[in-house]
Formats: sequence, structure tokens, C-alpha cells
Amino acid sequence: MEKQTSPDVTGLLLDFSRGNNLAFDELFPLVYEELRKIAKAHLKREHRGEEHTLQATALVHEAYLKMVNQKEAQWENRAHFFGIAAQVMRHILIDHARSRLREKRGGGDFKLSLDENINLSDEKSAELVSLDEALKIFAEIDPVKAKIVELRYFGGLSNEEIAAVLNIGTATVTRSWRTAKAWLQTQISGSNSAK
Amino acid sequence: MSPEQWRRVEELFEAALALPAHQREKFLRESCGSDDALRLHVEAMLAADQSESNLDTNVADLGAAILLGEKSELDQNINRRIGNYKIIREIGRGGMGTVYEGVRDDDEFLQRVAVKLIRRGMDTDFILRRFRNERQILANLNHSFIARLYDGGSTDDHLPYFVMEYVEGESITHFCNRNNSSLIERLRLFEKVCTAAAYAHKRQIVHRDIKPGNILVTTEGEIKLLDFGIAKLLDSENPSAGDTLDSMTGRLMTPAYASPEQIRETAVTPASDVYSLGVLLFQLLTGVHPFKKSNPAPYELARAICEDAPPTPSSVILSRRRENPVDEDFAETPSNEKISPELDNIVLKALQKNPAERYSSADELAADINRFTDGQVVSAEIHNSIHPISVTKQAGLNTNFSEARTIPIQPKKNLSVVVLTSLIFFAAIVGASFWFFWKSGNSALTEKPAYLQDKIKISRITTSGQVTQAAVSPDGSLVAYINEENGRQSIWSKQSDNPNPTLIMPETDLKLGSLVFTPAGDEIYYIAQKSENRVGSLFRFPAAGGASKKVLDDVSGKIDFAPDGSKFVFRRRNGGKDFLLTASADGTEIRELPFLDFPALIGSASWSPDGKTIAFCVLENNETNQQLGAIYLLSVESGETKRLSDKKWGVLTNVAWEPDGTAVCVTAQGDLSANNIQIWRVTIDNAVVERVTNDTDNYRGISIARQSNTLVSVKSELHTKVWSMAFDNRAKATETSLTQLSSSNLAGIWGLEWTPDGKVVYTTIQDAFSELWLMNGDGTNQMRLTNAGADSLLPSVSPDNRYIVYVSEAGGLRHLWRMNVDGSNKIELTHGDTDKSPRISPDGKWVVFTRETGGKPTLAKVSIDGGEPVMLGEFSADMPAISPDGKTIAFLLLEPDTAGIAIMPSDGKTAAKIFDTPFPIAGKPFYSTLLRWSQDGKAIYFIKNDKGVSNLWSQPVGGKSPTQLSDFKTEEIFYFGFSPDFARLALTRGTQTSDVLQINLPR
Repeated sequence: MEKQTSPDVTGLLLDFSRGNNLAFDELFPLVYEELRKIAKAHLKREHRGEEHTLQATALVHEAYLKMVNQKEAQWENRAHFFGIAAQVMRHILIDHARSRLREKRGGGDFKLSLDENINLSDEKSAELVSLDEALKIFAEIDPVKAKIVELRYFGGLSNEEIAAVLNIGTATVTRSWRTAKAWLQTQISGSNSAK
Repeated sequence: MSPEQWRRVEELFEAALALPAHQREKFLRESCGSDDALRLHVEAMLAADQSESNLDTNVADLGAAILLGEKSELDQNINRRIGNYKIIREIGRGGMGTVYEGVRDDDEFLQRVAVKLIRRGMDTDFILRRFRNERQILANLNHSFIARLYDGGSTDDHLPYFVMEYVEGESITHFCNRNNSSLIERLRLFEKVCTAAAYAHKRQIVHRDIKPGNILVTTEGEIKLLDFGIAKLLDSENPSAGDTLDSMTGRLMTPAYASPEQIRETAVTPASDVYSLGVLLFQLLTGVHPFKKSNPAPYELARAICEDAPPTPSSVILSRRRENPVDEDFAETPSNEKISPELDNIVLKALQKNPAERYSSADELAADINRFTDGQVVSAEIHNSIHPISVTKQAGLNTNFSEARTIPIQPKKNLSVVVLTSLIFFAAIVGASFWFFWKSGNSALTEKPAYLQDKIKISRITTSGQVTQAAVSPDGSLVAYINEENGRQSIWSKQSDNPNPTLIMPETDLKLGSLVFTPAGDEIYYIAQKSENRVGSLFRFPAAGGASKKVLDDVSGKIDFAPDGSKFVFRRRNGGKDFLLTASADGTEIRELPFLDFPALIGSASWSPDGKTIAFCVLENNETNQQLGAIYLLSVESGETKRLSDKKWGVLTNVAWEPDGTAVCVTAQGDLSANNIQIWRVTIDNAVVERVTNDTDNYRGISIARQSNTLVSVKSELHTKVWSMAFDNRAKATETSLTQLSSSNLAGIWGLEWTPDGKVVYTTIQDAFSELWLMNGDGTNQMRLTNAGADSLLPSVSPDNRYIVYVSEAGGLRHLWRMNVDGSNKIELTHGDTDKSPRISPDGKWVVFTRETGGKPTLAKVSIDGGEPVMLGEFSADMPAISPDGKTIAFLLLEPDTAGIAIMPSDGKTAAKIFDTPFPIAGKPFYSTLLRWSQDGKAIYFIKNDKGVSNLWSQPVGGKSPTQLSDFKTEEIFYFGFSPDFARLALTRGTQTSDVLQINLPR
């Protein structure tokens, strides 16, 4: 879809999967914008009384359906799309958390006076930021596990979904998640206590 | 840390995890040798693994919430002009585009519309071409349940748009959940959706995108289907567009409701809508989607839709029900209502993978739902037969078909039981109980005369007709009962030798139940609950009256005392299971009874006179997942349980021991196909089952005195008959003036009318439907006029004796129909949502009637030959009656601030005049408000009810106070009609009561 007017997301994903990292830079804002639009549509749908518990995973699935030509979609595209979406979600969260901390320190980015519903406390914000840092380090030493964390923690995907996206076994995902979680936990509690 | 170091850490961590915790330290010491950093690192991870992790919180959804909260740039379409409409605000967004609220911009008149702007990227030319082709067809979709499509076109920047009726409402699923709608309410709404779809299907229009979001329930409670035909306009099927994704768009946005053929992109037919309707019905019944589990990947969902067999709705309910079982004494959660195999079959038939095996049209689906709700045999078969047998309605159906081919359905019975179950505790609003009686009270007896019938003595203890529950004192001398008036309950007691009851607990808003005397007889215990709660609290108060004290919270079911009064048995739910517990009389010392894991729903319990056994009611599933009642006996000492009798009861609601301990009495549906709940007796020794009562009414609750064979129960009944009498407006009629015309029970309940040649058209109830009959003025020569298998009611006869105009549901909705006086040549005259209360004008040329749209009744008139009706005003009104000269219409004005009898000129153009009649409209069923003119046109006759007795009154048109025309001392008047010469009056009279009956059991 979006064929006539929108950038070819499917094609970009294909490029990205072939190693064209510039494609990622193009994809990221597109996915971001689509997620934002879908979220807004969800909010509007409340008018019609449909449920409006917006789950990240539903959001990402919907974005995938909207943005990727299902007929041309290849298996790798799916994995890459979900990977990008999880990165977008990560970006949104971390950006939000940083703004929150900045605001707290009088950084003055006033537009983000937060919605009461978005329960991102200072504590949680700090934790998110340090986790993000730790995850960056982790990606250097174990890229696959870092990806699993990103998909699961920021993208909201289940172990089964992650297994499908990364084309690995669910048991591997389960085991890797446990290991990664334990390691990251040592990193962020360390950084927190260091403060 | 390098990747290599990490791999070592990881390896040790996982190896250590595989070991029992106490071996890990040793393992790490050995493995790490002198590398303390490595060991500490892994140990820290092991510790982290055991502790709560920050990573287990769900931040992903928080991210989604942040997106929700973000402000977006102002929608550039707001205030834009599209066609003749100005865009006001965005009201929704979907895969195809955005829906805005618009108003007409040409200042002609203010009209709110919904403007659907198709998003960029769709093939505008193609859509518009198709729209032009289909425009007329879509514009002709003129059904009150379908949102109209007014217009379409393209914007300046070449985007297609559609202008549609603006509907304010909420999705059907949301509506049902918010209102906690009952099964029957859900089915009735769903049937309306089917009716609307069927209407479109007859015009060759398939919706293609039926889903809850497209089915709104308006603020008036009516159904509106949105976007009919729109999906097709957007769904490119031409070969040149076939390789774009456009054709997929609509589907993929809502794959959950798409049929297998839509997913496979093969031919879309009305059967595709039937499938989507099946998914909707499944959701309405169970609250879940047949295939969708949490958040499946779309391809997984698509695969399941094409390949997997859906579960039966009843199995879904059943698995939930175990966690949250129903409580027969208290209102149940409607979505937990039992789903019968017939309903399962209907859903499964709609959900067949092969379109040819589904209902061929939404009409058929609606018809089966209707058959089900009315207790007929449904056409859907179990085991997903390829060749469904369509069953036409006929009398004696259940016995005419072998069980192998069709399933004799119990809903007629079932429904009454469903309704009864919810009525058991709460006295229902009058209308509902009326319906209930009507549905259940007309069956022929199938049982032989009662074994006990000639040995028992039955007497009526109360006369209020509004009793919900009763209990008898231990010595049998005193009956306490709950009386409900205007929704408020109070407790009364009555000595057997004193005709006057005593108020022992004043009115309360709480719902009361489980009334029981202590064995000493000095106190009464009862459960009180707020109506919205499922569980109540137990209270006690002196039997002579006085303040209540709370005994215990969280008590459900009925309690019963041990013979020495020291403790009582009660039921409590915990973790989705029923437990029988005991507590001391003051509510302390709560003990579990020895058995803990009884695998069924437990109802009320009764403690045996010797204190050794507790009898309790159970609802258990049989092999076909039907819920059957059973009586179990529990040994208080050993905890051993034993089933008493193998009889397959239907619902079994209450149990009580006889004083000598040799038998228990129960209130139960004799079997699943029985029409009503009767009292039965079962002996303990050899489980002989005997009937105690044998009538067509229902009994609620049972209480037996400890020291005498006195049983009390509450009996609910409705009876009406058609009577005739000589009419003289100067002499007040009394009961002695009456001659009985028709004795069939419930005759005339839905209307009667004289013909010019002195015959009477009247309704009878047959197979749960109201049908019209004709008889001579003396009651002879009764002849059937309608046999529609659908309600036919409220007849009006033309003065030239040619036509009867009446209301019929033969076409699905309640519309006016016309037939010749001999019953021939039936034609449908009107096509509103609900049209009713027809009255033919004195010149026989037109009919005034009530048109109900979205729950609001307004007056209208239509030619005797049909055609487009003319509305006679926008105010809420009903029960029109035309003056003898045809110039004035009397009616009931039903506006909230001004209600009462009113008149207006029959052209409807000038204002109405309202009488100051003291008129009890609020909360009264329709029949109490029937209006008829006097012969001279100077007065309007109406019915006035007073404490279950009604009389005819006359409101002079001159405006004086009304006067009483009759002086009946008994019974309610449900309907009346005058012979053309006003020499005779026909009346439908009867009673509708629930009162305490005392039954003296044989010793």
C-alpha cells in the first residue's frame, strides 16, 4: 500500500536486510510516525467504545501490517521490521525518560509536562536510562541477546514471537532472556547504587 | 568485558543454574579457580536471577501509552469544506481513512453527518467509478438499522470521500459488556443486526467488514450498521489493481472478522457476512474471539481462521464458569449464562469454513436465532452437518422428529428457566415477569396427575401478589415473607390464625433473600446484598421485629441451621469453587465441612432433623455438557457424599427436609424439557420421586416447618380470560355482569376487538406466539385467523367489516399488517422499526398507529392500503384511539414532564390538549393504558389499576374530572373493546401474582 505516495517500506526493509544501513535511517522515522499515528487512532477509537488498552505488541503488529506489503514481504523483512519497531519503542521510552530527568533538573523542556496516566516516575526514568546504557554495552559483547532484550523489553514481544522474528528456538530465547536479564540487572543495580 | 570473557561468564552462569542451589557455590569455586572477578560476576548474576528484576516490568506498553499521550499536529482537515459539508472534528480513524463529523455548510439546515475521507494511496478513480455504479443501490439501502450513505465524491486534492448518517453510539460489544446484557438481550440485539444485514443482502449488497466497531448501539438503544457497502467500493477487484495491496487493506485491518474466503481472496458473498456475524455472535456469547488468543501474529490468526475448528461457545463459557460459577439465588453475570447445544450449533454453522455449509443468508441466521429465543427447533445441527435440515415451525415439533436428526430444543423451557433463575431472588419488574409467564405458562401437562395431589392441602397465605420469598417458623404457625413493592423490599410475618400480616422489617433498597427461622423460632436470618453485588451479608433480627445485626459477610446461597440452632451451614465461593461451610449462630467459628473439592456448582443446603446429614442442591454437567440438577447428601461426620436419586432434573433450586427426616422436598424443573419449576418430594431410603404440585406455574423457594408437615413456597402465576358483558355507561359494571367468552389461558392478553357483525377478534397464545382468532359474540365458533409462527396481536377491525389491521412479527420486525376479516390476503402495510397499536379510522381509509424508532414511540398514520406513513408529531406518544367522527385522536402523551391522556386533531397539525387525569403511567405495562372513545365521542375510556384490581374510567373531553365506569373488586383488566353499537363490552381480565402458598404434606 502507500505505493503511490509513501516511501516503499517493503523495499527499504529489503535493502536494510541486505546490509544497507542507510535504509535504517530512512525507516526509523517512518516507523516512528506510523506508530504514533496508530496510537492516535486508538485514542480516537475510544469514541466508538472499542477497547483502548493499547499494547505495544498490538501497536507494532498493526504498524507492520500497514507499512509492509504483505505480498512481497519476506521472512527477513518481518524480523527487521519488528527489530526496528522495538528500537523505535526504545527510543520513545528513553527519550521520554531523559526528558523527564532533564525537566526534573530544571532543564526546561517544558512541552513534556507529563500526562498523569503515563506513570514514568523519576526512579523509573533513571532506571530506563541506565538500562539503555547497559544495553548498548551488552550489544557490543552479545548482539543476539541484546536484540532479544530490545524486542522483549522495549518491543513487548513474547518469547515465541521473538523466536519467530529471530528465527531461533523458543527455548534459546527463554534461556538467553534469563541470562541477559541477570547480567543487565547486575549492571543497572551497580550503576544505581554507585549514584 | 570482551565477547570472549562474556561467553565464559554466560557458560558458567547457565551451568550453575542447572545445578541445585546448594551446589552452585562449590561449582563456581572449582570452575573459576583463582579468577575471583569472574566468580563474583557470575555470583552477582545468580543473585540477580533470584531477585526481582527491573526488566520484568512492562515498559513496552508504557511506550505505547507515551505515544497515546503525545500531542500531534493539528489535523489539517478540521474546518475544511468537503462537498457541502464543513468538517468539525475527527471521530475515528481506520485503515481506510479518517472519519470526521461534518455539518451541512449551505445554511439550508443543520445536519450532522459523518464524512469518511479515504486516505491517500487508494485508487481514487477506481473508487469513484465504482461508487457511481453502486451509488443508487447504496442510497436505496433504507433501513432504520443501517446508517444511510448520503453522498460521495472526491476532494480538491483528489481523495475520495463518503458522507454518511452520523450515528452517536457505542459498539455492540461495548454496549453489552457495559450494560451487563443478558443472553437473551444479546441475542435480540444480534438478531437485529442479522435483520439489517439480510435487508442489504436482499439488495445484493454485502457488507464485507462486519465487526463490533461497525455495529453501534445508539443512545436510544437501537442498532446501526455502519459502512454498508463501503468495503466493496474500496476493494479493488479489477485485474489491473489486483497486484496492489489495496485489495488487502480492508481485510488486513480487521482480519479477526474476515471469513476464510476473504482471507484467501476468493469470491465474497452474503455468506461471508454470515461468517463475520458468526464471529460477532461468538464474541457476544463468550466475550472472546473464536480464534484469537491474546495477541497472535496476524498470519497465525489468518491460518487459524482458514484451518482451525472453532471451539463451541458453551465450552468457552464452561471453562470460565468453573472459575466464576453462577449462583442460583442471586443475579448472575449474564455472560456466564449457560449456552445450550442448539446455540452452539447456530454459531458453528455460521462459522463453517465452507460458505455453502453456512446459513445461506443472514435471514436464515436471524430466523434460527429467533426460533431459539422462542423455543423452537433450530435448523442448525450438531456435528456440523453438510446438509442442514430446515425445519418449519409446526405444533408438536419436538415429538415429530427423531433425535438423530434434530435436537429437540429446550429454550422455550430453558428461557423460562433462565429468566426464572434471575427472578428467583429478585422480584422482576412487572413487564419482565409478564413476559416470563407468557412464555412459560401455556404448555400442556405432560405428567400424570400428581401422586400426592389428592393427599395434600394447599392454601394461599398472602394476597399481595408481590412476594419474592417465604419461610415458615419451626412450629408452622408463623410465615415470614419478603414483599416487594416498587422495587423496595420489606419483610412481613403472618400468623396462621390472624388474617393481618405484621411488618417486621421496613422497606429497604437492599435485595433480601435466604429468609430462615432459627430452630428456636425467635429469630430470623436473612441475606442482604446491594443489587450490583453477587455476594451478600448475613443478618439476624428478632422474629417479632426489631433491629438487624450483621452475622457474617460473604455468604451466598441459602443458609440452614443445625437442629440445635448452634450453627448453620452456608455456601461460600473461593477460588472459583463452591464450598459448604458452617459457622456458629453468631457468625464465628467458621469451619469447612469435610469435603472440599466438590466438582460442581452447589446451590442451597438443608440440615437434616437428626443433624447428621446435609442435603444440598447441585448443578452438574452431564456428558453433553448440559447442566442438570441433582440432590446430594453429605454426612456431617464422615464427609462422605452420596447422590440421592438418579433422576435427571433440570434446574434444581432449593431443598428442604421433612421433619421426620424420611424425605426431602425440592423445587425443580422435572427435566430439562419441563416448562416450569414445581415442588417434588424424594424419599431418603429408596429415592422414590413424587410430584407434590402439578400445575403450569412456577414455585420459588421452599421452607418446611421443623415440627409440623407445613411447607411454604412462593407461587407465581398469570391467568387471563376473555369476558363479555352488556354495557351501560350509567350503571357500574361488576363481576356479576360478566359472561366468559374464551377460557383458554392468556386469551385476549394481546388484544381483542369486535367486528361490525358482532363477532370478536382476540389473541390466544400458542407455541409461545400470539395468534389471532375470531369467535361469535357468545364465544362459539372459534376460528383461527393467523398461523404465522410469529406474534400477531393488537387487532383493529374496519367499520365496513372488510379488514383487520393488526401487528405482526411475521416479517421479522413488528409491523402493521392487513388481512381480510376471514383471515385471507395478508399484506404488510408498514416498514418501521416497530409499528404497533393500529386503529382504523371510521371511514375505513386510514390507520393511526404508533411508530417506535430508537425506543421512542411517536404517532403516525398510513393509508389502509399502505404506502409512506405521515408522522403526527414528534412527541413521545402511544395508544392512539380515533373519535367516532374521525376528527380527533386520543392518545397517551409520554413526554417525561407531561404524561397523561391527551387529544389532538387527527390531521396532527395543531397542538394537543392534555387532560389532568390522575394517571399511573410510570412503571406500568402497556395494557393498563389502553384508550377507547365513548359512543358519543364526548369521553375517553381508560383502565386504572389499583393494587392489582382495575376498573374502567371515563375522561370527559370537556375536561372535567374522570369518573369510574365499572366497579370490579377483583382482577386486572388487560384489554377491552366495545361492540359497534356499544351495547356490549369485551374485556380481557386476569391476575398476575406471586404469593405464598402453604402446603400441608401428608404425614
